[in-house]
Amino acid sequence: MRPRVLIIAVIVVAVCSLSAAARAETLPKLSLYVNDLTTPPTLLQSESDDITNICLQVDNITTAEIAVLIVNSTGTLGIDMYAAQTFQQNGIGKTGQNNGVLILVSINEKLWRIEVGYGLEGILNDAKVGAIGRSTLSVAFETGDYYGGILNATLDVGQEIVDNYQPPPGTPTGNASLFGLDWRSITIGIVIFIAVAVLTKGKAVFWVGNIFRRGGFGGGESGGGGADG
Amino acid sequence: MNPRFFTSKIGIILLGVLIASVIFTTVSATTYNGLATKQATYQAQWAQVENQYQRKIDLIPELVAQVSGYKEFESQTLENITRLRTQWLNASTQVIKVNVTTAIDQNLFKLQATYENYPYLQSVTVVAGLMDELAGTENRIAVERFRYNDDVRSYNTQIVTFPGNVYAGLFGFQRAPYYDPIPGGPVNP
Repeated sequence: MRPRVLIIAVIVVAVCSLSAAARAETLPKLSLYVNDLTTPPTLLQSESDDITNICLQVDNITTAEIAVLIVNSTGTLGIDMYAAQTFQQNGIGKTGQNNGVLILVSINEKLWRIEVGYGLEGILNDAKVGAIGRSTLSVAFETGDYYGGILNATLDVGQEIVDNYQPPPGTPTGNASLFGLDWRSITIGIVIFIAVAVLTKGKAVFWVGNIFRRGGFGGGESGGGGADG
Repeated sequence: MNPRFFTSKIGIILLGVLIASVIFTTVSATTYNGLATKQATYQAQWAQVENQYQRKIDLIPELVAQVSGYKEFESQTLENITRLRTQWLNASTQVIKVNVTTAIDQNLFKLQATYENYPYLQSVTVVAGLMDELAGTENRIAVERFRYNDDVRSYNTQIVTFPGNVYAGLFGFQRAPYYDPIPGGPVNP
């Protein structure tokens, strides 16, 4: 193999390996808004899109972020700690406002938890959230209609937020978007592009990656408030 | 000053001493500030743990008032919880608070067991709501405890590794206790 092609191949493999290694975590990295990590998938794409639309609307109207996470199991952490740590690691809700909610469903364990960020505890207290969960998610475990249960839970939570939550005065609303620029992919792409162009003296060009990705959450915090069942 | 001074033996030695001083000062400042910051962080986090305990204590009167109307809950358990709450509020030492908290938790556990054994109680909105609040408070305590232990771990690690161990000894930074696995927390955070 020509040395230059070999070098290019090594660069591409190394960069891709770095990306893969960065994703080896115990807790999931969530993107906006619905994350169905179950095998086999619990929701159809259209069902996931329906729930995503509700979350997007709530974010647009109020800047509050509702995250939905469906997993097969929460492992040794248990649903309480799993929810609290996933919430914290992903920063659900806007920084400073802490207006995030995580709706977590563990299919195999038949458990749910709705974790509420600091900024929403006043309007989504434990009793209210427990009532929502029991009337939607607990029912889903009995009937097997996970889509219906999660959709209704998201609707109920979203409605409470829209009805009762006021972002701080001057907060811009209406800017929520599912996609953002993936700066890592762009940087990697530029590096490879330059490397390939230099090594082939401009004869070959190479671009890697999609420059858009599903956005992440805004950096909000939670203190363990919420309810489970 | 003659520029040749800096290339002379004395010049080089002085330059070396200057660079070493700068490095030493920077490391000292960074290490001391790191220790002080981590100490302040875990102490502030302990305040959060105590806040959540207070929240639980504040919740008790309403909980007792609402569930006492239901004969499924033993009146003796409710009386115990009310009496122990008063003891907690009047406790003069941390050791007493720890012991009283353990007794309160045992009685609250009995309440929760009763609630789970009678599905009828779970359909009573007020009772279900208060049980959610109780469980939520316990979870908040668990989360704040977890963060406290994380902060203590970070602080203690810097104290035992170089160069933190040198400065810890010099400036009197001591190891912090982890949250005790027995409910009630450390005696002296």
